[in-house]
Amino acid sequence: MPAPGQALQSRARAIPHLRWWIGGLLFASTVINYIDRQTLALLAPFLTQDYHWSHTDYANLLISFRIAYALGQTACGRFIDRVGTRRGLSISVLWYSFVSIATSLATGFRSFAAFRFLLGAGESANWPGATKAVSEWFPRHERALASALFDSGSSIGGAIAPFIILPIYFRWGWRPAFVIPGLLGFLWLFVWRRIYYLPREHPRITDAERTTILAETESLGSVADRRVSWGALLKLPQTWGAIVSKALTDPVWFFITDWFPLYLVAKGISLKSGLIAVWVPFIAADLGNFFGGWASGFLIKRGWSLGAARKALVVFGGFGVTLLIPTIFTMNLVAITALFGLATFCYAAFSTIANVLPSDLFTGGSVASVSGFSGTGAGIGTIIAFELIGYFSDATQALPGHSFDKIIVVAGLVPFVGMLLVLLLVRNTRATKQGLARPI
Amino acid sequence: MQIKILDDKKALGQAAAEHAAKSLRAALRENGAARIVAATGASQFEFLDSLTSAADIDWSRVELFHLDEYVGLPATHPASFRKYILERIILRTGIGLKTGITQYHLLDGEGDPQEIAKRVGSELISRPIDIAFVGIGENGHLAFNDPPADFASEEPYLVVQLDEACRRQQVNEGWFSQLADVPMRAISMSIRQILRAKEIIAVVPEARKALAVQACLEEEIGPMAPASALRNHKNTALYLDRDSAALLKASKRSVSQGSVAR
Repeated sequence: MPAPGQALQSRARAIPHLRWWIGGLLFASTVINYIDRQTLALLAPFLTQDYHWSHTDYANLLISFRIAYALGQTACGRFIDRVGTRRGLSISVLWYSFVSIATSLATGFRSFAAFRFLLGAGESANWPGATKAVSEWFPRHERALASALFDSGSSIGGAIAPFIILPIYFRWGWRPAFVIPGLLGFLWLFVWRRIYYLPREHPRITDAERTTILAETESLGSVADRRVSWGALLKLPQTWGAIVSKALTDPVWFFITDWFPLYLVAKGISLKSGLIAVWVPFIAADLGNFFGGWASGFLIKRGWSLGAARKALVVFGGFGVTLLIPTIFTMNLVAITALFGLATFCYAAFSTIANVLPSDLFTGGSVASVSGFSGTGAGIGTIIAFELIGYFSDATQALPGHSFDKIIVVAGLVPFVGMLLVLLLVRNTRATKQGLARPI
Repeated sequence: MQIKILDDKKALGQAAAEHAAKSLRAALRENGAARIVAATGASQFEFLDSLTSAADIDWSRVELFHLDEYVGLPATHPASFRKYILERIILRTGIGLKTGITQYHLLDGEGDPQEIAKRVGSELISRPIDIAFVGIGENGHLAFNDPPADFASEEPYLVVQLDEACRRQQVNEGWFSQLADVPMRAISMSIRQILRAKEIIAVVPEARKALAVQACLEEEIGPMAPASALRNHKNTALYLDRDSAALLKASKRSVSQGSVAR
């Protein structure tokens, strides 16, 4: 078993708390992932003019990304389980960085659509890959916090993207604005190749950290050599628990981020006075992410079982998101914003658990596969939700101030249903005894 | 029960390791996988050194459990059995390196002991154990079942109190600097569960074990001599050295010595 770094072991200096450096690297990968995908959105006002795209054209570009991204998660998850985290994430980052750079060669709608599709396919590896990395490096009580950390890279990436992309655009034009973010991926790759090894074979890990991690992660081989088929995984209630936890929460997040301003407008609140309010859900979500990660870790430290500590946060989230519902009775901006903020905070705590469930429930060879399923489920759920929202809000346009009422009630209840299903599905079964799933 | 008496601790370790390696290869050949239980403690050093360097064992297909762990001790503590198992078995072999399924099950002494006992226990009993490696304590204990041991419990793991003799042994072996540092409780595999293994290999060297060995082999089978339970098991090999066998009746010593291949 010649571990890649073993020969170096005596020479290389050990890095204390190595797992948090790896957590930071996963965070950075998410940031870069988001910068790459935001480039198009930020340049859209200019590109739609240059290329005479209609809104439908632009929407189709977004959809080509979404479809590849939704389906890609299942494919990439499987791929990463096959080849291991180190190689799997290397290939996917290489892939989407190349695609981002190559987008600078686009000549019109079709080539943009093709590059967008390829970008979505490559970027979809990030969540399954990072989830698997967390399962390999973090003991139970820190796993949710580590997931929250890399997950928060999406909001940070989205927030800093304009400051990187727009100056490049104004100085050098749109083509370099795709090239330079793509180069960030290569920088990341250089560090990743040097830092990411499994704990048991890492040349720079301290003995104490290795013992702590290996004692708690219970031997996750990184590569699926006893392969569990997709069919076998989809027969397990645990798999569906992981899928619904994400598929029934993600759409609510996109509803909040994409429709909240319109909801305020529908209530007769002008966006000028509500500008700060639009930020509140984003801040609340970040806090909720970390709260969910920290709180479930705290409960485990207090002696709660893994399952109980996770489900406590799921219940917190399931009930919390129902706070959206009372907003239909008020026109008060502060009240609406406060309720949205609280609901989003609770949603985010739930969503952190949804992200970490695959690594809690599955052994090494299946973590990324199941995380991929849940990503695909979330993608499909979001597409369905958007169609329904569009339909219902148009249908009830006639009721001033209340056109969103039904949607809000549904949005408030969907994670609650998700909670009930998680409580029902996430449990120890015969598959746990057979070693297909891990005990929770 | 087969009793084998070797010249010294080193020879004992080698002979027991050869036996264990042979059984392990056989289980791997027959079932494509093997499930084993490992013991810890100073008495197992030579045995494990030999076993983990034995050739032709595909460790990536071996699933490992261990007998016991202190309650409340972190895995980084020098006396932690998880640390012991990781460093002396898992990291030296390929256990858990290749496969996607869980290949070792450590008792997390820092968690809720009842919950850990239940959780790891349910994995333990899901399929039969091929081979259990055990030792015998100075007080006659098997795993951490100090006298009077629970011979009746069907539970795979129990949360037990450690007696003073047992705790003092841990200080004398150098794992703890003083008695007060040794935890009062442990998670231990039950006697009945140990006896469910298809084969048991007991490794018991050194003079400090002689009294316990004598009690367990020559006194009545019962809770006051916990390791006497091994006499109820059909397929057990007990490896002793001259020192640990010193107090046995002469007849027993000569007969068993003859059975050892040299």
